[in-house]
Amino acid sequence: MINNKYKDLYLSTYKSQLKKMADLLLALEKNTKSQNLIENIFRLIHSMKGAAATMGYKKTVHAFHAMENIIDSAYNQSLIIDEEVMDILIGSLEKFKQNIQTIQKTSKEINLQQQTTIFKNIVKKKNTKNKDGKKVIVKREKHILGSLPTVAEISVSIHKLNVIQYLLDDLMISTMENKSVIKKHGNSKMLSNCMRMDEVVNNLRREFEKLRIVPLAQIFSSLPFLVREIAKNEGKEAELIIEDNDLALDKSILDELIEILIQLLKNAVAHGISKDQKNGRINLEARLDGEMMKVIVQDNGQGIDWQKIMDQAVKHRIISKAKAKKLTVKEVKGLIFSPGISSGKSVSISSGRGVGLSLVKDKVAELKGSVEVDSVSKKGTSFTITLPLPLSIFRSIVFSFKEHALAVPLSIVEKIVKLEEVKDFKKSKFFVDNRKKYKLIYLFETLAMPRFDALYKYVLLLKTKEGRVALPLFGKITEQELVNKKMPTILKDKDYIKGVAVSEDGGPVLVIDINNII
Amino acid sequence: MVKKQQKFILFYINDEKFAMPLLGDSQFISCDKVAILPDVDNRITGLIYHGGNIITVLNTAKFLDIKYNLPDEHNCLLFSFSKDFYGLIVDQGGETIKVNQVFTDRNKKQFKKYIKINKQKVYILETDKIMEDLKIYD
Repeated sequence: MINNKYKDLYLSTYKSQLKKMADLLLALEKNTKSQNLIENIFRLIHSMKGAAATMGYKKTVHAFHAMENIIDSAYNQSLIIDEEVMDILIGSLEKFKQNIQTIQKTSKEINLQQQTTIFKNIVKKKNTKNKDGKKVIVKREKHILGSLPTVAEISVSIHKLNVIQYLLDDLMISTMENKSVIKKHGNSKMLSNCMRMDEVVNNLRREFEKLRIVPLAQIFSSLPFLVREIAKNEGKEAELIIEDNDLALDKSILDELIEILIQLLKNAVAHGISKDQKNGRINLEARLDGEMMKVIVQDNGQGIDWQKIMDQAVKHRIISKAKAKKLTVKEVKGLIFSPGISSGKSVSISSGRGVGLSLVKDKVAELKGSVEVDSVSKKGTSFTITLPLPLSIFRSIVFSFKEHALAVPLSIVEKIVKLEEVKDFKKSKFFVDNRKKYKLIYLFETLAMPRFDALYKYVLLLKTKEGRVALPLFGKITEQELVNKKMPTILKDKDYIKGVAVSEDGGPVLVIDINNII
Repeated sequence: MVKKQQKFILFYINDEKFAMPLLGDSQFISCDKVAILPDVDNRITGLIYHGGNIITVLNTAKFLDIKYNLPDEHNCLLFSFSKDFYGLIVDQGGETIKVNQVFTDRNKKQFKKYIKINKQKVYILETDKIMEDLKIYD
């Protein structure tokens, strides 16, 4: 009887083990003689077989057992891992993936008999000779069931992590509130105790956050396998080279990002790389760029035919023929993200219906990022995704603008100027400080508020993508540490709001995106 | 045939009793430090922070189209919809009840469904309908 109580734990372990298996098999494909890899794959299959047996999934047990025999035979040098064996092993991952999805939905395993037979037939062949007819001698590096150091791991659901995080946020906000009160009314001993507590809570929160952060490498590892499969289906050859620069990201953002990358990789293989290309290569790079993360998907394929994109846009009535002639390069590039536009010549299993890139644009926008494309004929295409790094705790300048509590991150504030006397800035377009010119910006229109003649007390000098700007303020301003929270749906269409955070007094504050206001 | 029982949570606004389908996370909370939002539907009062989450506070009276003076301190009936939390402003929270039958008042334009408590009609505020009005979809 399958124990449903442990199903979730089994499934999460099965998923991560399957991902690890894909990594190991891809590594084995490059180095089929590595005893170390063979050992590790054996261990993994053995462990997955044991877990399936505990859960009572008999068909899964038989399939893993037959797969284990292949690896065992390879270890004992009675079977050579050649291209055919590799294809069968890697191909089986898709079947095991289907199995996991079915178990998740129905608690029942799929029929794995055919897969088991394929594994058994491989072992029956007992192929111990390579293409040249010579017996392969595999150097034994370790015993297959020797002990490798293992790290104890536990699986915790995101829901449970969220509950703890919310409690920590509450604790943190209460501590900030206490600190603010003690600063005003308490004595130095109380303040020093409070500062110590504040430090502990901050450290606790930061350590906790690390639990949610997943290395990109862990998620990206399944992509070479995906590219291999898409290329195989398209009858092409393509290799994926990953450079993650040891970056890590919040799991919830990574889950969204991976969907975007899958779409871009499908496009790169299906439309970028051509069938007669022997050196098909896709580079996936993630790197930090100031406060942003850049993720670049670049292929060395045939490039995008921009004239064709414009023709499609006219055909689908996205733009008129007359307007098409007047488009700037940037506008032409933007067309590729319109629904109905495809960079491919034909519709294939992977892509070509002109839906994918518009979805990519929407998903990137949901993450408050941007996507750009660059392409040179016969040299290749690159898509660059720029995402803001989610800062969970950040220092900000908090100010009131009539009844609204707003904030800008301190990282973009160059200087706060306290005016010697109040000014109305009625006739000014620029603010000058230390001979530097700053363009004056106002929030009235952005906040859909009727403009009124305000007397400004402060000016925030800010660094933006478009250059230096000055934001005059008439209300009270404070520097505070804010706790970032999930943005509610009702604000998602407001691109001038970067996020919602909680202030020291426990009230929500809207964090303004100055770049989008300009 | 056994009729399926439905659970509701009751609340009061302007001395009138209303019901909302009982969800796993339904609860009454006190509602202060409301952050006013710029350029949003006038039925949205603002945002509050509670229990680690940002709650979108909704003006219940405006959905029901009744005259109501928003008190300085008020309570909210909390519920979740599509991974977000919302709070309906109420005067007072009530008990949870189970009923066997939901009726429809064809004379009403909106929130037509009601339940009977002691032969008295108690109209239901359906969360799906509220969200649909605000153009927020699951």
